[in-house]
Amino acid sequence: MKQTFRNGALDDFIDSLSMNGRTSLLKLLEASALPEEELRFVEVTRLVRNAYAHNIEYADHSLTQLINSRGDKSRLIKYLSGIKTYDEAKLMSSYEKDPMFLRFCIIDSAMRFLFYAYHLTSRPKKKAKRRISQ
Amino acid sequence: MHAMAFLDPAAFFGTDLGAKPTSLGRNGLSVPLFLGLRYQDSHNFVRGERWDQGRKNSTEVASAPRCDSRTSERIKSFRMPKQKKQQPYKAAVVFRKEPPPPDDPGHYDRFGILLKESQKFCKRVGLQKDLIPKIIRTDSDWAFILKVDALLESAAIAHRPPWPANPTFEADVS
Repeated sequence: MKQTFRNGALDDFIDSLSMNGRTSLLKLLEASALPEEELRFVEVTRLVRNAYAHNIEYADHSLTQLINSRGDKSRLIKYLSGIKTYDEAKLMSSYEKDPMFLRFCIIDSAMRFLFYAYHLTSRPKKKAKRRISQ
Repeated sequence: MHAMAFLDPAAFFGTDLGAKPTSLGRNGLSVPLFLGLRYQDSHNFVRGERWDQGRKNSTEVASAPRCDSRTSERIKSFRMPKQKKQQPYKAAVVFRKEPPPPDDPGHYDRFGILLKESQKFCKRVGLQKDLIPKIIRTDSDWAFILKVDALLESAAIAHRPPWPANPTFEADVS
């Protein structure tokens, strides 16, 4: 009699992982060969989210105002934008003019992350072995 | 009539049968002639039609009336498709023409394309189709970032590497 076992303990373990740290979802994604830019984007989004969540004063601030008020401004702009070459001052001024532009960049990076996560999860299809005729 | 005339069709009809050599049987007899039949070819069989039309009155073999009118009617009843005109390759094949990208990148609707592709992706993955448009149209940046972060976290948790995070194996219990 054959029985199939599914390892539900590992599922629970992954569900309980935190986002940052030595044993975290980001480390697991890194081990799954997620590109560096996407990893940093997830990390930076979590930073901004924590800044909003832990300080109620920021609730009325726009995203550009929050970024300008932080010390790691350059890093936030770099990974939230997902633009390779840019002039920081010009980019920030364009974000202030049109806030939807920054949202577009964030959603663009988020979609890329979702795409990678989806394809990292799916198993590769087995290729048919080539038969060598004798 | 001489008895040998039955064995020799030429003598029987007094004609030269060299014009229709294929109608001769194995024994040198014109078998279709004796049966009052004519095989025009292997698939077109017209009953009662004699092959030696020129000598119709000189023969004693009874033959059924010809049925040319019937065959012509039958042929007319076929609805043959019209022959297509030969066209050059480029005229025969329809090429789908996509609009070329505009010279001015400012006129390129990247936002619309992103929304369209996100809808396709969400539908494929099993998420709500208009999830991304809803997130983009959030009123405040605070709520927007919270939603994006929640989306990323749920995708990261749902992400399971094929191995070894979720192994499936079979064991022989017996």
